[in-house]
Amino acid sequence: MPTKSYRADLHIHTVLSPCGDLYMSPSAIIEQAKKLHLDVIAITDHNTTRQVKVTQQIGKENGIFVIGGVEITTQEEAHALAYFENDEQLDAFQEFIDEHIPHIPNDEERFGYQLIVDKDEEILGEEEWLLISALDVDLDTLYDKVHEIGGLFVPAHVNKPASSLMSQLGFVPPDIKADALEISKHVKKEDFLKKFAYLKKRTFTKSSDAHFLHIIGEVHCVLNMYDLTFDEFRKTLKGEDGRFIDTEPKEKLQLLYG
Amino acid sequence: MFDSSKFLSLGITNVSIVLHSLNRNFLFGIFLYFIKSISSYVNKTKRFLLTPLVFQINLFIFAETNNCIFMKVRELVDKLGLKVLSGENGLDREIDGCYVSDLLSDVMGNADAGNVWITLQTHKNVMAVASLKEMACVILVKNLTANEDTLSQSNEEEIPILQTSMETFEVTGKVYGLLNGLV
Repeated sequence: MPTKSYRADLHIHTVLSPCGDLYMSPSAIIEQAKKLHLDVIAITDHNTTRQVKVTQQIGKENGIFVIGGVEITTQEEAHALAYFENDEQLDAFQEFIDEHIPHIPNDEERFGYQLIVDKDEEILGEEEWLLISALDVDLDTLYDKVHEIGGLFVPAHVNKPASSLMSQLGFVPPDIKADALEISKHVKKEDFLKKFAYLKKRTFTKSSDAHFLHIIGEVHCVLNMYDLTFDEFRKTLKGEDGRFIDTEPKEKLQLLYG
Repeated sequence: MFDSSKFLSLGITNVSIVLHSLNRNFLFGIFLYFIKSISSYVNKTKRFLLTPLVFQINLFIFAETNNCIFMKVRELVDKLGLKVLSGENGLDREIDGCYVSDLLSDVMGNADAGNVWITLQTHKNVMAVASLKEMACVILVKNLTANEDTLSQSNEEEIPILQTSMETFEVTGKVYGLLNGLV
């Protein structure tokens, strides 16, 4: 049975991230994803999962598969994405984050707003603690925790010159505990592997890291799997039974109105 | 019979250490020849008053070079009351300068061999980078400690991991002072 192709942007911020644009409400994001004909998106705000459920609800109503996730800032100040299967897992991890986030109050003028909104873009509340701080947990412990809960762990934009495994650790450790590695739009997977051949057995993803609506889908990857479920996604990161990810799909996403 | 070359040898020892560290053995050779020529000239012509002049030249060169205080890691540990977490076999490493950074990519690009590395990063890549750059030792600040993996790699590489309760500013200031003969 051949695999099916699903266009995916697995790293999108919402209005909740202080650096996320105020227009990035869940409904606006889903609308944009529809226009771009994305099949899968993941909501990954900095150190919080509180905007995921609303987005998933709207996504379901509009035929977009939304994976709930978070972009964690580790103790080493590297960014790492975690993806979760269901509400229980999200809640469990949110509890963990709440225990480990430093209590530095947000300064809206300097860092931006941290707003939680509902599907009608009404403000429900705010995140009190600055979300771009680093949790006091290191990479390996985070991997263990995410896996204990049942999620997937993907260090973010490992090639970037800031907040990445490369910038913080000098190089991607060959034995890094990760389900996949995300690269940014600045490098092609094959060029990256030319420099770091020891990573060629790893699965790679590529996403937009969108903090603004128009950046969603700027780059994306295509998941080749048998069905659109989290379990299939998990198996695709493992590369099981012919599933694979294309990080440089030929077809670029275009805004298709109507 | 006053042998000026013995008096001058003091100067030679100091300058030779400096020149050796600057990897200018060739220059050292020339300088040594210079000293020896002056010595034999002074001995032959009995112009002993020239001896202090040559000694002055030595001191001048000595003072003009940076980081001319040399010490082993062991001495730094004693002088600053650092705790040795691992890598005891490397305590006799010679120190040559110091680099302070918590970004490993920065250290990979900019640190020099023989540097002391002061940081709060405890990931095991610290050891990989320290060994790659042939650094003398790593000082972890604020009583931070490294994990098992890092400590065992430090023992293998024989690059000591040292610990201090001081924060980076204070320990850096003290290391700077020690290496520049200010304290």
